[in-house]
Amino acid sequence: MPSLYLINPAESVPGYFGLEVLGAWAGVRAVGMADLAMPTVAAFAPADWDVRLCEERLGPVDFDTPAEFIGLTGKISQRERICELATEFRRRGRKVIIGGSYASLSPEEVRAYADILVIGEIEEIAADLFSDLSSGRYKPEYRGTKPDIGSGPLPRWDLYPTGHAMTAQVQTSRGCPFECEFCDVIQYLGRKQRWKEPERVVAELDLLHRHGYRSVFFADDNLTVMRRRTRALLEALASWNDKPAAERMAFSTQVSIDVARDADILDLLRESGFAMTFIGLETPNEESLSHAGKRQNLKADMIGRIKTIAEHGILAFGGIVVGFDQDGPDIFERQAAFIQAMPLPLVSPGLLVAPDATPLHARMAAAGRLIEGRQSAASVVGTNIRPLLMSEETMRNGMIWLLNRVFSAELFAERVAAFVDICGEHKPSERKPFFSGINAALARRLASKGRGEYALIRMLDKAAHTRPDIQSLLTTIFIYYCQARFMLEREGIWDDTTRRRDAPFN
Amino acid sequence: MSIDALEQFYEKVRSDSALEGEAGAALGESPAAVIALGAREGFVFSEDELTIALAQHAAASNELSDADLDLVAGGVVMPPRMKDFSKSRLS
Repeated sequence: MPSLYLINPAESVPGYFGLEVLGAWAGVRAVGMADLAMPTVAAFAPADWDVRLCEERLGPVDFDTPAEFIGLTGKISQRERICELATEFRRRGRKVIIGGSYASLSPEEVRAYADILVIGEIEEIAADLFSDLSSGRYKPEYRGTKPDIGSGPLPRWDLYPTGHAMTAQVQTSRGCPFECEFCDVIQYLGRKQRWKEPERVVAELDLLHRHGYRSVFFADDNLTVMRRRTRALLEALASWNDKPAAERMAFSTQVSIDVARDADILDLLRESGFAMTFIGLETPNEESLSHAGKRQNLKADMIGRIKTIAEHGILAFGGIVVGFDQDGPDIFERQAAFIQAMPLPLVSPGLLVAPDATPLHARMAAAGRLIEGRQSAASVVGTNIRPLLMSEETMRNGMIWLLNRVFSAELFAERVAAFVDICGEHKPSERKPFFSGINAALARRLASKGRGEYALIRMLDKAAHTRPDIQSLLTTIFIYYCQARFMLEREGIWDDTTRRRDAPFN
Repeated sequence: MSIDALEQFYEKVRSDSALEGEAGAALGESPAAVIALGAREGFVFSEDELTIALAQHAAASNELSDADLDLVAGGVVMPPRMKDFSKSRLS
């Protein structure tokens, strides 16, 4: 029987979203988000194949697997481990297949590690790929198309370890019509958005619900950008998710800030169960937004729009970027003030990076401003771009200051309070003590770090009492705060003195 | 059930020497004894909430080593030196 061992390799370093803090501080074997790539690919394997999945974040790779083929997926943040695992399995005589977003965007970086390289989307090439693997007459490279994304079988969640992921994933669309200079997603998924029908999305949700998941991240590049299809989808989701509190799913996703223009979409998002969404705010520097082609954020009163989104009961997770060519050393204070002006507890500040295949990468290469070997974003204060209006040292130090400021417990608590104050009402949820289970374990660790941290904990506890309808959102805020602190401490850039300075360079 | 109730209980303990003695004894005995004493006085809090407050207290008073803090953080909350809980400020 042909056999395939699919691996989602561990990330090299913790980031904002991996929730490695659950293991490190709470001793819980869990991941923030279940990997969708492995169950998706596994579903295409013919019935006579033996397929096993390995989520390396949850348990060790079985190097003694008898599987004939080893499949490796992953993002750029998993690059090092993809290459390590490929090398070891090939040393053991296994045939290694590498696919996923990193292989698709940077095929030359992994080609030397793969027996078979799969570039792009799997749906329309899966039949040929598995047929060739079965016969042993496979090619060194398969290149995907822009398929109908709803045409494939339902993901094989039955093969994924159950009970260890805070949230599962569904993807209802691929692609984004915008053309931000730094975005790599549109480089391989395209700007013409392709959608799954609502019936197909509901079928995937049904499957996840049966497997016990009660939280799902919609892994769309921009869920709401095409309004007509969004309304149809959200109406179907609202109807599907009209369940008793214990059975209801909590949804999260990614959108662009223009969503705040449409109150009916925001209402539908909340009614259907969306509680949190990532939004790329990037910067208050309009010149940077303009040059980067982030036109959806230009002249958009982002502060007002984040308030509108919060008033509709939705928590934004703000993407923040520093290091555009129009950013001088004053950008750090501008960013700190911008972030603090919003009811926006959760942010993910990072330096502008030029991923392979993007217009930004090409422009930086032409200008001789790329730093080789730095693309893998192995550090939250790292980048592969030489800044234009400040030195590398100024940029790094300014970023360290910004991170310490926005994640200081005191300033974070202010933003939580601002959010709780205006957050729109949610349907009642199951009421339980806020600090129990994982929250309590994390809080024990956080409380030991200082009085500001303990004050934040007390404030969250109070908020959970006064707003029981948003307890799960408060949990999200708390866990991601702990993750940010864990990440900054792990990287050695958390510093009690820095966070007290009200300017980066005084 | 809240951390606020625990803090209010602690304030009462600090202002009442007889209660302070009882609280010290209860802390030496078990978390359940502290919780029962709090409930008797009208303050409802959980063992989780108690351990969070103790973790902060222990760190603030600098009495525990990193290894001890790991114990507290892991939910093992009764190292002997915690017994003077009632004599120190929580926050």
